[in-house]
Amino acid sequence: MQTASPTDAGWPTEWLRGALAVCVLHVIAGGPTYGYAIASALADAGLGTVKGGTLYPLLGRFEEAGLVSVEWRAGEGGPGRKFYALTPAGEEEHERQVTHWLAFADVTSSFVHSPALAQPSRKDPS
Amino acid sequence: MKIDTNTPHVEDEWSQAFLLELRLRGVDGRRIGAALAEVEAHCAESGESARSAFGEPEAYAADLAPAPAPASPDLTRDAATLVLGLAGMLLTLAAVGAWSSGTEVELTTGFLAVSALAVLGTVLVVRLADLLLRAVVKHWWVAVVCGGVPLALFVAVLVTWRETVVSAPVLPSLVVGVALLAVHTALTLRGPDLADPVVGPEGAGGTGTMREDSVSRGLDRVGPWLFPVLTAVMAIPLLLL
Repeated sequence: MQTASPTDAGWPTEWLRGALAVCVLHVIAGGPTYGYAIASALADAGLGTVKGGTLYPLLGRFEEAGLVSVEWRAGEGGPGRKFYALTPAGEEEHERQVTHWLAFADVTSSFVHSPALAQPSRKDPS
Repeated sequence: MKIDTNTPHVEDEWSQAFLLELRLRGVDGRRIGAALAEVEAHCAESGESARSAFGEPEAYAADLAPAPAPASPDLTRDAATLVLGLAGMLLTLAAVGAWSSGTEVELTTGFLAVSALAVLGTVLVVRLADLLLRAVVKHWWVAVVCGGVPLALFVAVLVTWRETVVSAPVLPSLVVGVALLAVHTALTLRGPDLADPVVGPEGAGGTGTMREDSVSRGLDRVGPWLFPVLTAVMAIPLLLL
């Protein structure tokens, strides 16, 4: 199967798409932070570059769902920064998603470590 | 006309197309300003262009506001008002011309054809408003063609078909023409104030706030009086000749 083009860290984009929400929540769980810092933290963690066009709509959905509160803080001479912080609902969601993700990763890892199951042959019954 | 949204690190054509697409999707001015400020903040800090970080402006706007707003019914009202103003202007000018040359107002086949074309054109513009706006933002010459071609066509039709269909006395025509202009202006003045300025978030130091230049502010104020003013200006040479 042809997968979508990998990210610059080498991960297929579908994988990153699945993991992005929990990873972004995890960055914000470390304290109020802003878009570019979140993207940098994800890149430093080895997840590759997350484009603004992917990151900000996700942050917008968190905001609409009440998972984060936002505040603009003035920057020195710059345009300022929009800071995101987890709300109590966001903290709950963060914990839930982390637990869930770890369980999923465990299942996937132990499955791909196990010996490959013998498949019934699909040869033509001719 | 250049739209200045106080986002120096974002490409002009990108921010303009983005702003228009969000407007067409019915997003309010504050949300547009906030989205612009966020793009500006990201581009300023990352050094990336808006196109490389956020992709095509239309696609990014669609991501932020997935459901396009239904077509505004005010557009139909605007079109009807515009047709009234146009008809009032043409009739008044015809009456003034007839008065200065001492004849009756003669409605020619060309005049009727132009009126019909003007109504048709207005309906088309209203129907295709979204499409036209997007095209004008992308290619400035679309505006020139859409403005110039109908104007040239109208003049050609007026000059070519000059047989009189109906003649009417000057004074009643003048009264009807001026009344149409007055109704047009009154409707425009009483129309809802649709102003929903694009304003950046507090704390962002004005980023994402759209600055209006003096020309567009002036045009906003002249708007309701445009047809009466045009009529007066065009009537002067008719009276002098």
